[in-house]
Amino acid sequence: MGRRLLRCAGYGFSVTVAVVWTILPIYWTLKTALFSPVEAVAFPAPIFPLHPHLAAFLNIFGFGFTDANGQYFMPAGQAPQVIHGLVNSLIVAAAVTAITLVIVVPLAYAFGRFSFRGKTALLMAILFSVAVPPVSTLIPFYILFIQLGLTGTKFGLVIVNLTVTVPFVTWMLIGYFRNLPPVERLAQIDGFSRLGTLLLVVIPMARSGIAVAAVVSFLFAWNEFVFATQLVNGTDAATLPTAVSGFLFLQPQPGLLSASLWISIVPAALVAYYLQRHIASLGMVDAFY
Amino acid sequence: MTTIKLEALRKVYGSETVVENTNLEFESGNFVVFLGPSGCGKTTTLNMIAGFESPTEGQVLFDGRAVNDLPPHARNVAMVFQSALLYPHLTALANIQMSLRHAGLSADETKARILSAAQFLKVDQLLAKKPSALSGGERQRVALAKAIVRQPSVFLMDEPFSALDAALRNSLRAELVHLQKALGVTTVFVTHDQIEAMTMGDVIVVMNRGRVEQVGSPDEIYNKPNTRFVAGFIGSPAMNFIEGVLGEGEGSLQLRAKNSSVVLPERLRDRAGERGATHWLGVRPQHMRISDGAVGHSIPSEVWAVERHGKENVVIVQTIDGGSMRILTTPDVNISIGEKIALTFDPDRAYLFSR
Repeated sequence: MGRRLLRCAGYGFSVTVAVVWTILPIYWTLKTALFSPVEAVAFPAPIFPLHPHLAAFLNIFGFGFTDANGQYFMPAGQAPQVIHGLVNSLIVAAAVTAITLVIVVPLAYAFGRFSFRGKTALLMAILFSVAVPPVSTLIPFYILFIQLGLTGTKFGLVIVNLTVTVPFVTWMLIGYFRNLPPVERLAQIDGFSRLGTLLLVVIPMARSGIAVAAVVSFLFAWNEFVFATQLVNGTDAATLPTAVSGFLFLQPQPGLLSASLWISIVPAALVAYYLQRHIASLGMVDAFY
Repeated sequence: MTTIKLEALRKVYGSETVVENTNLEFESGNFVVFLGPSGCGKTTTLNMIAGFESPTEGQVLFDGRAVNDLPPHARNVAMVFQSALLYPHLTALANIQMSLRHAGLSADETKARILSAAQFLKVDQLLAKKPSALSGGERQRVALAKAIVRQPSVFLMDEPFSALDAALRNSLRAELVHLQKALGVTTVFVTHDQIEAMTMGDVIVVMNRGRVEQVGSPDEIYNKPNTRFVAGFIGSPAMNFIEGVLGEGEGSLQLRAKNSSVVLPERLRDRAGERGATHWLGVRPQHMRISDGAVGHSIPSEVWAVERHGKENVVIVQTIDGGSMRILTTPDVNISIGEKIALTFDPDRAYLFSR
């Protein structure tokens, strides 16, 4: 009896820790964004915002806000950059995800299913690419991009992101494709061409693996900060993480910073939420074989 | 209703000849079984008939027409694979429907055909389910429905029952034979299970290491095996072999082993090869006799184990020459382990092999 209690307690404790660990930073950021100016400068910071107001969220988008007391909050000077950053991030992340999927799905399928000359060499090339730390390619890329005129462009940023996502996601998906049931023969009998088999049979079958690949690519590109800061910060192509970092270098305005951090979480969370139901169906394909 | 002919069919992978010069002909409506151990080339031959692999040499002919250059779909064959292969992301109905994609039928005709095929195989209640929601036997039935709905010229089956449990295998076996006879479609069935081959086939092709050892009806294969391989592969428990040197003595042929010698029945004289060469005497377990010991030229042995199968017993012995043999007896025969017995055999049912 005592042992079961202990096990329940241990289980409850671990779950609590995991939940707090995950939720606390998000909550903290949210409440800082909702603080009134009085609470914002209080130390220690209050646990609950007693006078929450949406000034911060509206300011970062360039709107002024008058609260109940008649106090006016100026729109943030960085507002255009925040909006622009949001749009740029969406474009870059979407492009990276789409291109990664188009390249990686046939690639991982070929590696997982067929044998061909040079397969081992190519596989090694991909695996070594995964092992290379992205930051080590930063300076070479910067120099190359200056010569090519790609600094400060979304195009350049997409390329740089792809050098990380393509090897990693290929590596992730090769095992997945290898474990799919061998339906190629079945498809041949049913009259599918090779390409038809890939497009009409394998891809629908591999929905869950592709969803995982999409989530991974999107999140990587969305959160990517180092390359973005070096290549596009301050330019027309600035992405959201770099725009948000702008709030750090001026007068500390924790409310604005927190609000912009919070909105930078939202699109990524939506993408992950939408695709996770495909990940959940992973069980169906795996359990069969 | 198609005849199949394999003409000088050969398949080579790199330096390895997987299927050697094979010439076979099958009549329309036959249930042909390719039987053999793993690696004997039976699946490769099936793949060549299906069109998944092209032969290195030779031709495959359906109704006299060479189909070498036709892809699998164009050959109008339907195939059932091991482990009930289906599209896992589609319902049973959609799976079956896939076979009719290029059939050019109207939507109503398609539906009617699918329904009748499903009813024939008793899966019409399962059509809305996905393969992962079905049991192994149900999946295999859906795969069979998928095959017959095409109304193909040839059925090809690659060990379709090997992934199922024994009871299911038995019931599906009978159903498949019934199905095939009802539809009259020429069927090529690959298996390594000789019981399956014997119970289902009209014609059995026994293969070993890329070569066809023998072709014939189950009766012929069982009672008139051409080679030692066929004799030992067919029949359960397997045939016993006594190895020895062929010699002439006391006016009859004798097989001399290390510590014993056996008199060979006269009817085997025309199967005898060189005197002095190694030969094998083959006797099935049910044709072995436990003698009273006093009979000359019997093989002294010691009982090693007794298996009770309910309707019969299998007595496993170690002979004086060190080999082991199995004897089939009725259940009432009482023999204990360690007992010394002498073995002899029914002279009308023995075989002699010179290689």
